Amino acid sequence: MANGEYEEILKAYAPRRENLVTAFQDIQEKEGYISEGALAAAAEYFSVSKADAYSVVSFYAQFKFKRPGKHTIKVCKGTACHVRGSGSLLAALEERLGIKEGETTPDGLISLERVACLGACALAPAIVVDDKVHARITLAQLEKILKGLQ
Amino acid sequence: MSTFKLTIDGKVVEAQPGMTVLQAAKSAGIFIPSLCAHDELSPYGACRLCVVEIDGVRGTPTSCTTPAAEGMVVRTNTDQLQLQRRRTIELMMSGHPSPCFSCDSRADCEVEKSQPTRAGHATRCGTCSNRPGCELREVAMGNFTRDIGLPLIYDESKVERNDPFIDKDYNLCILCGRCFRVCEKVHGKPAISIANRGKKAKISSEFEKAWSAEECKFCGACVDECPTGALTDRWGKWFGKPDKISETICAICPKHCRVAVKIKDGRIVSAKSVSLKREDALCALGRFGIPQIMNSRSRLLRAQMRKEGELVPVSGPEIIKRFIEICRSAEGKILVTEHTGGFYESRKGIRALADRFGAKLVKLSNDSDGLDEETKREIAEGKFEAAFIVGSYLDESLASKIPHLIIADFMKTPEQESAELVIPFSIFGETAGTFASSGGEKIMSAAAVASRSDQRPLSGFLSEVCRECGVDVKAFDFKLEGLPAGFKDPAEDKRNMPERFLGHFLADFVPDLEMLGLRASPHKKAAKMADFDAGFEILEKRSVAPNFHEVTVKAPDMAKFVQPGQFAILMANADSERSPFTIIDWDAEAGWVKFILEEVGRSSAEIGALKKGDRLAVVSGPLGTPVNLDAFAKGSKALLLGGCYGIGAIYPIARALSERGVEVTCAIEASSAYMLYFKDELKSVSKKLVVRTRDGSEGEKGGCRDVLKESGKDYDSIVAIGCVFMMKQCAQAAPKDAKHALCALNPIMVDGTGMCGACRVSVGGETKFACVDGPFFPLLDVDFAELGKRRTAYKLLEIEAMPRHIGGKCHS
Repeated sequence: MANGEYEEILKAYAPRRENLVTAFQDIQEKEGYISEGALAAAAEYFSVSKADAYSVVSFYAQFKFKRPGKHTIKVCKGTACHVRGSGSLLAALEERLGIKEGETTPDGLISLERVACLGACALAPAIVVDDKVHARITLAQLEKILKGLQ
Repeated sequence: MSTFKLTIDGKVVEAQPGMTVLQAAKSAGIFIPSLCAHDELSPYGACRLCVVEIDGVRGTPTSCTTPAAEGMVVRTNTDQLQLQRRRTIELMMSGHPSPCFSCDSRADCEVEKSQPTRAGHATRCGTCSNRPGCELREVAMGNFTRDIGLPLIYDESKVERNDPFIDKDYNLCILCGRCFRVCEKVHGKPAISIANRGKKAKISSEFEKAWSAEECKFCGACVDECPTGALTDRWGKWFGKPDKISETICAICPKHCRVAVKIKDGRIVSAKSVSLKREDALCALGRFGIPQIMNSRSRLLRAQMRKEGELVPVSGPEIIKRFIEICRSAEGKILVTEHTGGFYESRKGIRALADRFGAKLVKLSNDSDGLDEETKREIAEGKFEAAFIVGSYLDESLASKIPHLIIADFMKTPEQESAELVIPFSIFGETAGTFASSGGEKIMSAAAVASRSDQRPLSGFLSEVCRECGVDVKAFDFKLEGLPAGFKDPAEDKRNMPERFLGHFLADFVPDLEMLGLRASPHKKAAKMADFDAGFEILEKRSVAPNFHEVTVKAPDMAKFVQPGQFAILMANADSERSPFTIIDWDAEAGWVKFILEEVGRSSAEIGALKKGDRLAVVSGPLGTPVNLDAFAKGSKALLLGGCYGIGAIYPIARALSERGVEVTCAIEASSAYMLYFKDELKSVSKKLVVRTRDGSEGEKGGCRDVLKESGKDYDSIVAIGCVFMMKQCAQAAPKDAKHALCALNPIMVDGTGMCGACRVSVGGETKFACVDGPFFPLLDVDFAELGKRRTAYKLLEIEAMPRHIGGKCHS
């Protein structure tokens, strides 16, 4: 994103320190992650140093500092999903995609994430692909889902 | 505003408005332990040591963040609070390498090793540069029990040396936040902060980039305020507590900042700003550069005069006489330079001199590139019979065109080879004198240390010359200039730092400046490029414990002759110091020899910085008398004791003895579990392995001394190898009637073949050479006190030699 676009987002907020987090949430919503450019623009707008701004955003696990893939697969590792085998789903995905959880495939197509609980325990094991919940996933279904992602 | 009263520990105390409870207590002489609190920084409440109880306030608030109020009733020292503080300290210590803290021998050890070992990693107080001034240690030892009820977690994260001047050892950090708060205080917006959270939290710039990449100005305030040694001054950190701190003026740029210099043994070893006010902030040159410049090995120390073609050292009066002779004979054909960054007094002297002898006077600023084109042309055309150049502004070819060249300088340069007279002078910090303030007012700069050798103030030399020639220097008073137009403050932005001082490239003396984009001189560059490609190849190198390396070297000739207990002299580079290292394994057929190497100072750190495939300049050995295996009878019982490098050193002996049918027990000690290594190797060559740690983190708490005390008499033979302190303890604990007890001595050694005598030791009243008579000697007969003393003979030189960069690489 260009600098002007960050400003467009930032100017919705009064330039006070306490607005940093919500402003960064908006930026991540738009761009998918917090880039160096975004951090610099926000630091300037809120009159804090870049180190200070980074301190705030790096505190929260929700913020990402690398561009996410075109698609995101979130594997639930909550208790119910865990006992229903989400561990092997994650392992299978890691092997198939050749990346670890938290990483993105080199071609930028898929990011793999692990979440603590989706709140969909009745559907365990569950995964979320680009905001769509897939329930009671088996390895065979996983293969189908992956094929559908382009 | 008026003062008010509150009650602290039953005592009614008076407080000023705006004071915190901690400050009120402090001003009333009531001590509350604290670490993160700092009178000049914003309250933070991170360390939680200063907790108190206040009537009507729930829980235990931190006194550093609680404003004092009228009528408050505060308790600072209840059992509950003490317990809470002790738990807090335990938590801090469990994440901070602190085995020395709980070691029973700490006090004795620190008498023996008055200087911490200069290793790559601070794995404990004994290898930590911050030991002399550590606030964490002081607070912990002053107030709490030494028993730590929690396991010690040392994750051995690498010491970060990716930035100039500052070593960052996050293993030591307690996240007190002083560094970024002082950064905020000095610069408004902090260049560093805490990134991440929980266990991953660390002091960092944004995106964990190198600090040099971004807003950091390298003013060093964070280093000065760090209480634990997590942030240290790479160059100055080993000098310990300064003898005194004096104020002087930094004259590297025309801003002429006031600077507080730390003095140890008559040398400036560090510098810091005179206050935490923004206007007093220093740039990297002022904070980190000054001591390196002052103590540079390139300093010009001797006054020299050319006699029969050779430059030879001469006395002051002789120099003055010749100086005047040259000036008189070349009158009207002289070139004189005035360094506008110099002392007012020297500049007056230069002007007087130029006037007296009808010289062409060229003014040069500290960072001028050199002489102007016209003057260069005149030199080339042979217009000048003589020249008096202050600083390094001539290249060698121009220097050779001047028949009578006089150079005054504070550093050695190649062009001095063409000079007839070379006059060393002392610079700011070493000389009292006058500079211009930014507004052009006169400001006095004090001499913080005395000048060395033949160095003396240039102004003193010039006024003597002028007196001899009958010139009145006073007549040459002039108005000092303020800051030049368009001056850019280096303290505001590191890109504004001048590249030169008196014509010299500063990066020649302060190599870290190159990391900030300042150039070194072309001839220094060339010297650095010449790499060494002969020598002995390192086939394998692995770290077995922090600061301990196992190094396998290709040395086929040597491998054929090694026997257990022998050592070799290793040198990383052709100009390195010769240091002995124990051989722990070898293979005559494959042609390799394996060493155990502990980083304890410059030479070992140089080798420690090498990697697989690199080459050692010198590997000479095997040296020393091998251990006499015949003295161990088959079926007898031997106890081998190892500490530090000795853990590796006992391995080949244990193997050889086991092969001969001796029943071998190995006992090893380390300060903490993470410093143990070779456990499996030793188990494979002995009947039994006993492990002791000084903090009790693995095996029983204690050391080899305790093993000897408990079971020393059960063995026919004893061999102890480790540091002097450990062997001394073993000698005290060994059975007095032990018939066969040996130790391997490790004195300072030079040639290793019995020629130099540096490794002299006293054993049973006789003088022996450890290199040829040893290294094995009867444990009970060694004079360990003398050995310990002799080992510290070069303490200060060893510190000065500590590496900043080794072969262009930062070490470890």
